[in-house]
Amino acid sequence: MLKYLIRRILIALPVILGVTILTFIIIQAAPGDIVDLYVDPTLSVADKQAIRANLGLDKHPVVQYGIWLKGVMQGDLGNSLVNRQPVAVRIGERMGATLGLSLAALALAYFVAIPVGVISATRQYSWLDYGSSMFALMFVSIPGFFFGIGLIFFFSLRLDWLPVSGMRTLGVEKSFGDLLQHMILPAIVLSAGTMGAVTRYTRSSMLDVVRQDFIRTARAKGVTERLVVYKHALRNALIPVITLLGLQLPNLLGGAIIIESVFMWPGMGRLAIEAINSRDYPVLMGLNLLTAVLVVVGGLLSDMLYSAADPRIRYS
Amino acid sequence: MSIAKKLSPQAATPKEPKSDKNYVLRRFLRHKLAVVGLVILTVLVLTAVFAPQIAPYDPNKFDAVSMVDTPTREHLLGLDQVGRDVLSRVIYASRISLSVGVVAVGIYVIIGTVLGSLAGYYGGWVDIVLTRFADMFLSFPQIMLILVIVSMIGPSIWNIMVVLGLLGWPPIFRIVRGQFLTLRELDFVQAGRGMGAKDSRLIFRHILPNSMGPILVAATFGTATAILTEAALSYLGLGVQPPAASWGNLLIQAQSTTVIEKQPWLWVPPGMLIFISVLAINFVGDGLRDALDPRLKR
Repeated sequence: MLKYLIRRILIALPVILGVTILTFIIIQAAPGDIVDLYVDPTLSVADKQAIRANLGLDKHPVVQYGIWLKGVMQGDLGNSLVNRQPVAVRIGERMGATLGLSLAALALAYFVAIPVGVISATRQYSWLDYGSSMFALMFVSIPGFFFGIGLIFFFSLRLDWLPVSGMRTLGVEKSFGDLLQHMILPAIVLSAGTMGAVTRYTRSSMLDVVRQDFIRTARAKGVTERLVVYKHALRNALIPVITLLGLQLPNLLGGAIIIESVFMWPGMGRLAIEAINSRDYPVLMGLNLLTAVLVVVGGLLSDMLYSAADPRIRYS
Repeated sequence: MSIAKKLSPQAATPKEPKSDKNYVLRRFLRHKLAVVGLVILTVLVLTAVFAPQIAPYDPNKFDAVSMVDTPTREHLLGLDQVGRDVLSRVIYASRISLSVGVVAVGIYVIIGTVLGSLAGYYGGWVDIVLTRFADMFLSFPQIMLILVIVSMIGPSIWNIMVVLGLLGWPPIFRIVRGQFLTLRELDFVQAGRGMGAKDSRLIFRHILPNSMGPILVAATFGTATAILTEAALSYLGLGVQPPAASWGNLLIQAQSTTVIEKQPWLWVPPGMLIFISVLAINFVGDGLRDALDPRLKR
């Protein structure tokens, strides 16, 4: 098992490296750098060059990448070009916000989707089945930002039940209740897509499992329907659904980008957009590195969960 | 008549008669939702194609006459913040939003099918190399990469089509490759080979046509995703640039709470249209998938 893990990680390293190289190439290829964009345009060319030298932007691209890579090996992600803070710090201060929101959304999605999917499957063709399937499909089809704007419209502006944006109310003492109020709407929107997909997936997985022979055996043995469904069928049906969980890991960052924009949530997604607009390449490289690592870890986690849940699967 | 076709020696027919097009069509039509979706899509496509005839006003012209910007009988969806007719803009936007989806998917279906056929048919190191290549693409953090690339090469509708097209082929690749691996071993292919058919003939006339089912389903769902992605990118300002209208960038106006609350006619129509289009596509995709599934016995 350990050998397998190590082998997977070794294979993944070149891919992660490739991602960073590709990102770097694209950033270099883009017209204009941060000096052109953010610095006072009336400065003389010489002054601008001096600033560039200061930031290390005047060196050859390959050299710049090499410097960055060397830093990463030593745990240093470089400094943001915008405010000279270490990249790790800039990402770190936003990470909590995104992580919190994403985990809340993930939990919400799964806690709703799995029961609904199971009940949908056990009462196939009922109104509940059709209704929840329709809702699931709608959740998957609606654009996140539109859903978000719509929720803001109803709950924040018309009904005034919830705050419009941000993570906390200014000037008010930090409280969990306040945080929760701010988090509900973005979490709902973020969870929508996953909730819809997982519901459909759970439902079809349950339907497959329930048709199998061992379920017939259990029923023939006289096991109560409740046990048949919730103990025997569910455990097997959940296997593919659980493995899906691992694959959601990279979405924790990506999916939040739009939602964070709509709700002004101060997270990594907003940071990414700011970094892109300002060509702040150390931050971008750091974020991409993080996401690539998450993709790899997510895949590994998914496989590990799969082999843990299904005794028939074992990796050598 | 179809039976005669199946028995004729020239036609290289698949094992299951279920892939006969009429049968699939009949099964599709039994799905009410799928049919509804298809109708909706047809309406949308026709609106997009005939936009110049249907739209009441020029989407870029400012109306200097009207007093108010709320919906009136002259302007059914009101005016936007600079005075353009919203309905016309939304109609013209459908051209862009829908076409981005179709073109992007078209690109990556072609790429994925070609690569998948090669990998699945020839196997060996061709397969290994191509599959690793596809895995690499799959491991990329998709959204981040799209954002970075699009913002770097400049936001425009063509760039988005190309980027989405170049990044979306691995799932199609996998499907086609899987189909080829399965179908390659079947009798009718072996028979063709035995009769001396060239590789290209086998690929294009025999195996590929029988793989179209899953490809079509994947392409349909892919279009839905592509439309959503374009909308999101345009909303972030990284997609279609104003004054050109796409449903996504029409929603940019809804970033202020005043607009959200007081001028819903600005953001509700484009958002709803994205929603309805994607929903319709998903209906059709579901119907297609069920109609093409050889295992379903309803």
